[in-house]
Amino acid sequence: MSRFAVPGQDPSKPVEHDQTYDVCDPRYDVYAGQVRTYISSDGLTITNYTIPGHVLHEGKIVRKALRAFDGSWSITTTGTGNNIYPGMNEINEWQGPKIFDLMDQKLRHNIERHHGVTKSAKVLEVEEGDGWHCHPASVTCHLECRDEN
Amino acid sequence: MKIRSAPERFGNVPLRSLTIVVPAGSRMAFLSLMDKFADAQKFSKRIRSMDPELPQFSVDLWRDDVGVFGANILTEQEFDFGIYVNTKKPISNEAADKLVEALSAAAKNVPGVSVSLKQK
Repeated sequence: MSRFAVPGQDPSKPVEHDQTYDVCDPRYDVYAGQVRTYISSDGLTITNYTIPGHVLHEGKIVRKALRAFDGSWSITTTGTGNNIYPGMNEINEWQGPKIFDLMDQKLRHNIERHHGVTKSAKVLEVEEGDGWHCHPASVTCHLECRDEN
Repeated sequence: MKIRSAPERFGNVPLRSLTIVVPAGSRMAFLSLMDKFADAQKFSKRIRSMDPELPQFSVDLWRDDVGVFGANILTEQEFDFGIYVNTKKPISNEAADKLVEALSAAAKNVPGVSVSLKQK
């Protein structure tokens, strides 16, 4: 989680609690400002809060990793805030889910690359659209990896 | 008070970190006092509720040389504060210590509030 917490983050540098990080749109490498990061004691919830100077100040993004009863993991990303700059809320609602979808795809690729996939488990395709359940209105996306046996 | 734009970039690691424990019943008094502290220290400020459904609040104070950011995100009663320098115009360690002392003294004026320095 901490390697895929902030848009534009280099995954080789996990985020740490109480530090600030530069945020970039990973698709176009456009700098948006900085966030302050809070990590829960179990490491499964990461909250990024925009600090003054960020185009989406003041805003909060919470990324939670949850393990379901069947052993599958999902990541939920939720955004709330009061935009200071007019019109940014619409841009955020439109583009925010796309940015975090991309981050989740990279997270999934990373897990598969480092932990492999057992033959007994058929993992859903990672290509965009497959296995993803997104609700742009609430900026909430779920990534699911299911055992199909 | 005129709101100034924030400096281009704050440091990634806080120069000082504090935990301020604020009992739920003293929260509004504490936030009101942070507002006065911001004025006294010539900070621009934004002190707001962070979430319509949770009792989370942020205290964002900033000026040309330093940013003081705090929020009670992980637990309802604990505000994690960090003092971050403007990388282009950093303040000295002595100035950071004075700011910590002033912030601590201000916070302790609220009944039940305790302050602890996390790192230096």
